[in-house]
Amino acid sequence: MPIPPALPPFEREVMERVWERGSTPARAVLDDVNADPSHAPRAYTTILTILRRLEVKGLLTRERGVRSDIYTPAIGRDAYLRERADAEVDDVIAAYGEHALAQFVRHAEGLDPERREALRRLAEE
Amino acid sequence: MTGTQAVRRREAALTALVTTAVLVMVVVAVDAVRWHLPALLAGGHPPPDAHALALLVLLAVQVVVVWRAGRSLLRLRSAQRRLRRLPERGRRTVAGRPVTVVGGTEPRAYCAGLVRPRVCVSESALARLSPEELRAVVEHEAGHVRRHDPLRLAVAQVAADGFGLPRVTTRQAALADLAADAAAVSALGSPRALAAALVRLRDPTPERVDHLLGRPLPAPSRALSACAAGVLAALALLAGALLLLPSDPALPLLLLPAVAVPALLAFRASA
Repeated sequence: MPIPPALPPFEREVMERVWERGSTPARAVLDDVNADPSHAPRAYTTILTILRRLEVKGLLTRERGVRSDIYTPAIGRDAYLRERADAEVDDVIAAYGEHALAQFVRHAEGLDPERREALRRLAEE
Repeated sequence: MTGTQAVRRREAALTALVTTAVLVMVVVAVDAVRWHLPALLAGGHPPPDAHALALLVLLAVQVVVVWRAGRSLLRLRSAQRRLRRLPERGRRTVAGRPVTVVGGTEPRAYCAGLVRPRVCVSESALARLSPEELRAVVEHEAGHVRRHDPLRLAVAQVAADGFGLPRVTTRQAALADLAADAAAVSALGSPRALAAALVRLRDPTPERVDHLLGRPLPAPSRALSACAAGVLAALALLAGALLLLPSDPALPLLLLPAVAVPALLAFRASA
C-alpha cells in the first residue's frame, strides 16, 4: 500500500471510531460521533459521505451487509500513525533539507564511474 | 593543496564574501543616516545631488536584500519548528555519542538544531549499515555538531536568499561535509568505513570522493585570500571611521560594491 494520506480533523475522527469498532455499519459510527457533546450532531448522510471518502482514500473497505454496508479499516491504527510519521519526516526533510540541516549525503548529480570505482575500492581496503 | 588547508581557505573565502557584502550595506546605511538623512527626507527640495541619488539606489537595493533575508528567516523558523516536532523513535548511543532515532522511508542521517545540534539517524539507516559504517556516519555527524554546522548553514541560507546568491548555500553545505568527513576519518583512523557507508547509502559529490582519496582540491591562492581579507579589514575600519568622522567624507558610493571583487574571485576559485 502506498503511504496513507494525512486526514482532515473530521475524517480523522470518523476513522478513529471505525478503528475502535473494527467492522461497523455507518449508523454505529454516527451514534459514536454524536455521543460527543462538544460539537453539534452530525447527519447520517454526512457520515456516509465521509466514509465513502475514506474508502476512496484506501483507508476503508466496504462490504454489502444485509441491511446496510459494513466498513472495515484497510490499515491498522498503529500502522497508519507510523507510516504517516515516516511520510512527515520525508516531507520535512524534502522541504527544509537545505535549510539548516547537515545531512550525511544530499541529492547529488550522478558520480562518474572512475570515482565510484575508486570509492568502492577505498571501502574494501 | 592538502584537503584541510583547501577547506579552510574556501571557507574563509565564503565568509569574506558574505561579510564584505554585509559591511558594504552597513557603510551605506551609516553614510545615509549620519550625513544625508535631511537631504533624503527633503523630497527633492533642493534637488538631490549625485551622491544622494547613489545613496537612494543603494538603499533601495538594501531594502530588497533585507526583505528577502527576512522571508528566509521566517522560513527557517518554521523549518526549525517542524524539525523539532518530528516524532522520535528512540535514543541510542553509538561510539559513546547520543543518537536520536527517527522514522522516514529513506535511510538517512543528519545533524539538526541551531542552538543544541543533535545527531539523528533513521531506522532504515540503522537497519542497513554495519556497526562500523554506522560509527563512521555518526562520527561524521558529530563533526557537524562540533562545528555547529546547522547554524552556519542557516546563516549561509539567509545570506544566500538575501543577496540572491544560491551558490553560497550549496558551497557552505559542501564545505561542511568535507570538514565533517575529515573529522570522521581522524576519529576512525582511516577513510575505509566512511567510504563503505557512502557506497551503501548514496553517491556523494565528486569532490567528497577526491577529498577522501587525498586528491588535491581547488582553492583560492594565498595572494587572493590575503587580498580578500585585507579588503574586509579596510571595510570594517571604514565603517568604524564613518561613525567617528567629524565631517562628510564624500564616499564614491557607486564604486563601493566593487570592493567585493577580491572576495568574489576567491569564491569562484573555490569551485
